Amino acid sequence: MPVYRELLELAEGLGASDFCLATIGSDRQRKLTPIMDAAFPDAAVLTQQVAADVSPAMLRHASNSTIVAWWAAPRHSAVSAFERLRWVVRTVAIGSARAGLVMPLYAGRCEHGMLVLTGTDFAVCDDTLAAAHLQALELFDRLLKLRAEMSGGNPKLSRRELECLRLTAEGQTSDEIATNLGLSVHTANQYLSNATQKLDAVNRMHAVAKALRFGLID
Amino acid sequence: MVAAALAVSQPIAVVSTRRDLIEFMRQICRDVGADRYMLVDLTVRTGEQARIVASNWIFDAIDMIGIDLIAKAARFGRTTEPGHQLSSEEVELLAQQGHVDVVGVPVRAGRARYALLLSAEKAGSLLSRAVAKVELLCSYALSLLSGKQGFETQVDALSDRERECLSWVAEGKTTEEVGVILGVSGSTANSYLTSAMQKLGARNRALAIATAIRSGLI
Repeated sequence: MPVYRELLELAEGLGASDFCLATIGSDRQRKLTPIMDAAFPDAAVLTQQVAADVSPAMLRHASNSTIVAWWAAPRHSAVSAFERLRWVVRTVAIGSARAGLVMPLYAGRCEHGMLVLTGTDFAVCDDTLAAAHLQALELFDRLLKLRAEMSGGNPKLSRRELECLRLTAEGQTSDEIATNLGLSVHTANQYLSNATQKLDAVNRMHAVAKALRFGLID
Repeated sequence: MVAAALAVSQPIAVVSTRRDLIEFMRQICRDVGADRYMLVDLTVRTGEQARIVASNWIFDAIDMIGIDLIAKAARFGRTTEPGHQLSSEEVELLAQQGHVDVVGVPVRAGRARYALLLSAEKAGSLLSRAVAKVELLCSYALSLLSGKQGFETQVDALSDRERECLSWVAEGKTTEEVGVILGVSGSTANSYLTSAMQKLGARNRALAIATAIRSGLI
């Protein structure tokens, strides 16, 4: 089933009528980029509000925690529904919706995102929420993989090249890598320069950074 | 049927102390049919050993098997299935200490990375189907715990200048080039980099970059 359909059903399953899925930049700016919403392929009002309205605190929460956050207007029926879930946190409203949920998402090695759900008839319990969150994580992962494929995909590195890069990212020198993997220093260096080339990097530092950001190593 | 029990599930645990975490882990073990668990924090400064967050292993076994192998096993799948990356000696070593059926579950909580090693003395005891759910529940538990303890990653450990320098090095620039970009001398750029390395506890630049990317500093 297309990701869009599944997200729509996920939202409906929780009693939400609108959703917006966005990525959060992995650097300090934590730039929010909406990638899909209920009006797909158009952009919903919610998406504009999400783009304009999400607080830095919310972005920080979504990239530091997995805990679901919610908001609801005073005396809204959703308040009691959410308050029954003892582990979720309350947050400020996003946009004009009277009630909503924010699920922090992560994928790959350092990709973060969030799924914002809004509506007036939320029906949630621990289990449905966790199950929906699990599904959202899978969908987010699929969507990002799909996007990576469409943009040409990540470079294919051999197992050895990845191993050498991983050890470099752990602070090992070529000598140490060679000893660790039972290679000659020359071979270890060769793997590293192949990896650098494949990653279209200018040197090893650059290659390590790119590999980490692509999630090829962790 | 235990997996089904996990699917309908008990309420999600509100984990705010280490004691809660241990109780939570006990529950997880019961649900997936594990005798032992070991939760390690992989977000350590590399070069240091992975840190044990919680475990019900016998101390001798930790010593005998070694934290490095534990951390490695925790990253890579199930030992009774193909695709895991342990050598037969390593599998044997684990088995000798009563860890016959072993599943490694990577767990993320925001930028923090953990690995959970669940093991049973009898082959085929663990329920793989429950693993995805376990991953999310652990992520909740660790998010709640780290929120309570307020240990965010060393986000503000670096000065703006140090961070700038590091991010240019991660783009493949040399020290001299970084100096030119920032309008300082090469040796000033170098001293920023050196102090960044010190603060990150990194023995060289590759490790400093990797650490900074892993913790979202650049």
